[in-house]
Amino acid sequence: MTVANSEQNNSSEPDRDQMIDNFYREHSRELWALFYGMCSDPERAYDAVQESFLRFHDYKGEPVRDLRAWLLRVGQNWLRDVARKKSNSCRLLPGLDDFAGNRNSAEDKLFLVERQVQVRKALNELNDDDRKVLVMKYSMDWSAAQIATVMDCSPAAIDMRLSRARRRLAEILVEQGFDNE
Amino acid sequence: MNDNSSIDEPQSKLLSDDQMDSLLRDFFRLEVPVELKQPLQLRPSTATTLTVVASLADQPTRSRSVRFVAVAASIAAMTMAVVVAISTGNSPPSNGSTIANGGLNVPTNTPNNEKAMLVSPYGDSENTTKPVSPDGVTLEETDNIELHPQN
Repeated sequence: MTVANSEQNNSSEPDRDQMIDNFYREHSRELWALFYGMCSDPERAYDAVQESFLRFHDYKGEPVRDLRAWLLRVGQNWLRDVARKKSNSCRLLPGLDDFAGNRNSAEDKLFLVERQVQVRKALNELNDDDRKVLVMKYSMDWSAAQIATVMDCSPAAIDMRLSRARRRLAEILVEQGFDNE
Repeated sequence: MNDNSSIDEPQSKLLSDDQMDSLLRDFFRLEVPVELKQPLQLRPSTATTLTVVASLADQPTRSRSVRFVAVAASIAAMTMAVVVAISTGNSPPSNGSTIANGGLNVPTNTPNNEKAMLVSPYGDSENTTKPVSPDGVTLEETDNIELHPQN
């Protein structure tokens, strides 16, 4: 995950763009998941990914030794700034622009949107570690061993935490009146 | 009996671990933005296009602001003209002297200044020798007339 790109400033612009592009293909999904774990908002997490890569593209300072860590820090700071400003006022309804050209009926779509909102809300109620574990497991399809590396604990502990997080999420969903049918 | 069933109801609604697993997989399949699967758009050509679009977008804003200033100035001028017209409308016009003075009314001692008359003999040399009244009295002569109050 660590990118030794100490020569990034010396490399030509197309090479650098190519490097950023490759890194984006490789790590954008993971970064999105980590940002999503922080804000529980798919669009905002995606914006954080875009923002961090865009800032790196324009960055002319000291060579970056660990690009993933750099992007994570930039994205985190950006998310914090956005949360401080509370700029929720002009957000689109989730999935509303997907209505056009969708084979599902409007009712089906509405049900899906509602379910997404409920699960998102329930995820937000979980503690940070439980949410992160679920996000890493289900959005990136990571194994317990991979998650254990990031979370700095054993795979068995991750399995336990996953099970506990799912159980807690189910309880929250029942409290919210979630209907899976 | 009924009480027990109502207490057990939330427990029965609780999704199993497998159901939760399936629910979360479906949830995250929809949650991950489609745009993430597309390559990053950071090419210079894109940047150039964005710059051009931004500069083009600025132009109407600038002309709009200029237009706004022009409209505001013309409205102010019209308002000023209306105010002057109203203020001069109260007193009779004095041979356009108000307009010649830049819209300012010069206070005069004469209550009726409809016919302003040159009284200085040195102001207009031609008029000093011409008669200013039907009985042939010139301006030079009027200077020499001594007025005394009648008792």
